[in-house]
Amino acid sequence: MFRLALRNTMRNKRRTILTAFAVFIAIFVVLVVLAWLLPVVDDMRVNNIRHMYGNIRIRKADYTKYEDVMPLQFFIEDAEVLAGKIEEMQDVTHVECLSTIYASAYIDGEMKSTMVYGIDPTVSNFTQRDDITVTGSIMGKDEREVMTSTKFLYDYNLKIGDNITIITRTAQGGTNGASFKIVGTIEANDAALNVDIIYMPIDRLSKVAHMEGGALELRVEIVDDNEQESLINSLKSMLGEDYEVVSWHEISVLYSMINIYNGMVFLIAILFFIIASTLIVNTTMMSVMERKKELSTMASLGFSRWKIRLLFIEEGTLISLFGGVASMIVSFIVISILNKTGIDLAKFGVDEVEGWGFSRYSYPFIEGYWYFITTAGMIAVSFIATIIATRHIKRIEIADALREDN
Amino acid sequence: MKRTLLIITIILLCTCASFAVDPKEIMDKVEELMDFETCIMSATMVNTDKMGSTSMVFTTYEKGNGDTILEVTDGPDKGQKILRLDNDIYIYYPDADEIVRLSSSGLKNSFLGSDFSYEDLTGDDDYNSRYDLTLEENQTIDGDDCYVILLKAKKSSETYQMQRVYIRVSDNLPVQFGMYSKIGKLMKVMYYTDWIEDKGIYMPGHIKVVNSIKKNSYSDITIDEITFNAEIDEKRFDKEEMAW
Repeated sequence: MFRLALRNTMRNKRRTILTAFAVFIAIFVVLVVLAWLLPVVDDMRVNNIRHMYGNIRIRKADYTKYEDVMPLQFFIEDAEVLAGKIEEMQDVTHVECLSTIYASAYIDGEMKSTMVYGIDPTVSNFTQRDDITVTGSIMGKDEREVMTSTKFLYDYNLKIGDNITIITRTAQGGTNGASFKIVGTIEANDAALNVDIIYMPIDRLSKVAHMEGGALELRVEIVDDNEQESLINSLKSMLGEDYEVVSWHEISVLYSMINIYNGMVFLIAILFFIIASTLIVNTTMMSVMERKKELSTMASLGFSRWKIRLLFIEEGTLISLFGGVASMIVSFIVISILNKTGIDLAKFGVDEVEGWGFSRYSYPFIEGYWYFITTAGMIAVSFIATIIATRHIKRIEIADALREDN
Repeated sequence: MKRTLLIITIILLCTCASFAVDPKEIMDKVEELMDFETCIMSATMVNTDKMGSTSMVFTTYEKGNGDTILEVTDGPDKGQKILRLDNDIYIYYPDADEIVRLSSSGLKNSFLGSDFSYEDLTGDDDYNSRYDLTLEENQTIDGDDCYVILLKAKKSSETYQMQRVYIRVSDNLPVQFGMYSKIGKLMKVMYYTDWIEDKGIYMPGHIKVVNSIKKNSYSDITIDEITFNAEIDEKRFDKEEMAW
C-alpha cells in the first residue's frame, strides 16, 4: 500500500511538486518569521530590563509624582551603599545606580538639548555588556570625562578628545555647568540608545546637579523575571513609603504588548498553514476527481473505500513529508546565514520608535524543536486536509465512474 | 448770556485738559524716580514651589544703561556669575572652562531656577521707547488709587509682548506688574513693596513674582543692602574677566 502510494506521487510530478512546494513555503515562512520575530521580542525585553527599567526600579516616590518637572531634589541619598545592600539579596544579579536627566551641551556658542546618563562606568550595563561597542576609552569614575553616543559626536561634528560644557538643572532648581573631555563613544544595539546621549560618571553628574552623591534611581536585575513579587515586597518593607519600588511589568509600554505581539507572530504562522492546507485540499480533490475511474477499478478489484482513502492520505502525507523535510533543511541553512549576518532593523524604521527597546540588528534564531514542531504541524495539517479532500471517495458511484470517459 | 456760557465752556475744557493724564509722562516719572547711574545691591532670593523652597544670596553691580553683573555669593549656586550686556547674557560656572553665552531669546529663561527671568532683573527699563502705552481706568491696589497703564511691545523680540503696570497716584511708584504673552495670557505677576529711598532714588525693598502658569510657584527677592551711584570698576563688566 505504501509502495503504491509512493509510486502514485511520481505519476503526476507537476501536482506533487506543487503540493510539496506549498508545504515547503508554508514551513519556510513560518520558521523564518518565528526565527526573526521571536528574538526581536526577546531583545526588546532584554533592552527594557538592561537599559530602561531593570527587572525592578527603585526611586523616591516623589520623583515619580513630579517627574514631568524633573524634580532632581528627590534623589536617593547614599545610592551606592543602598545598591550594595540590594546586590547582596537573594536572586539579585546586578544593581545599576543611575541618573538620567535632560541637559544642554554648549557647542559652538549654542545650547543643544541632550540626555545625560549618570552611570558607574566600572560596572554599568552601558559600558560593560557584550552588546555595547566602546570606541576610544571608558571614562574614569572620578574624572572630568564623558562618553557620548556615536550619533551625538556625528550630529555636532565633535571628536574624541574634544572638550564639552554641559549645563544642567540642579537639585535646588538652579542651573550649573561644567566642562568635560570626551574620551570615547558608546554604540549599542538597542535603538533607544542611538540618540543624542552623553554618558557621565554618576559621581560627577551628582556634583554638577548638586545631588550630594545620590542617584535618581536604582535598577535591580534578577535571575528569574517571574520571581519578582517576593523581592519587591522585601524591598518595599526595607525602604519604606518614601520609595517607589515597581516591576518593569507595571511601567514598560512593551510588557503589556508582548503577549499581543507573540500572538500576532503565531497568527501569521497559522495563516500560512491555512493557505498551504487550502492548496493541499484543492490538489487532492482534483486528484480524486481525475482518478475516479482508477479508484472505481480498485474498488471493483476488492479494495475497500477506506483503503482507497487511506492511499490518498498516505500520498498526501508523503508529499508533505518531502516538502517538510526539504523546507526544514533549507530554513535551517537560511536562518543560520541570517544569524551570522543579522538583519538591519533600522531600515524598517525602528530608530524612530521610542520607548519600545527595539534592537537595531536582529539575529534570527530559533530553538531546534521548533523545526520539528512546525514540520510535524504542517504534516498534521496536510493529513487533515487530505481527509477532508477525500470525503468525496465515499460518494463515488463505481458503475457510473467506470462508464465515464477520461 | 451766550457769551457767559461760552466762557464757562472754555474754562471747563481748559480745566479738563489740564487734568488729562499722559501715560508717557507717568512712566517717565517712574523711570526718573528709579533712575541711577550705578547700583550695587546685595539681596536674598527665596524660591518656593509645591516641592519646597531654596534660598540664595547674590550681589549685583548695575549701570544705568542696564549692563549688569551678578554674582551668587551664597547658596547652592555659589560662585556663578551672570553678566548682561545689551541683550546678551553671559554665564560663568566655576567648573566650566568657557563662558556660556545666551542669546537674546535666553532673556526669558529662568534666573537661577526662580520665577524671575533674566529680563525681569537686569537690563534697561526704558518703557517709552520699547512699548506703546495706553492709560486704562484707575484701580485700587491695597487701598491705594493706582494708574493702570497697558504696555504693548513695539518689537516682537521683547520678552513680554504685553504688560499691565499699576502705579500709585500718590507717589508715582509702581506697585504691581502683570506680564502677558503675545496671545494675552497672564504669565506672571510681580509685586513691588517696602520701597527704599536713597539720594532721591527709589527702589523696591521687596519684589515678589508669582507664576501664573505653574501653580504654587513664586519667588521673593529681599534687598539686604543697596548703594546708588557709587563708582564701579569697568572691568567688572568685561566678560573676559568673569572667571577672575
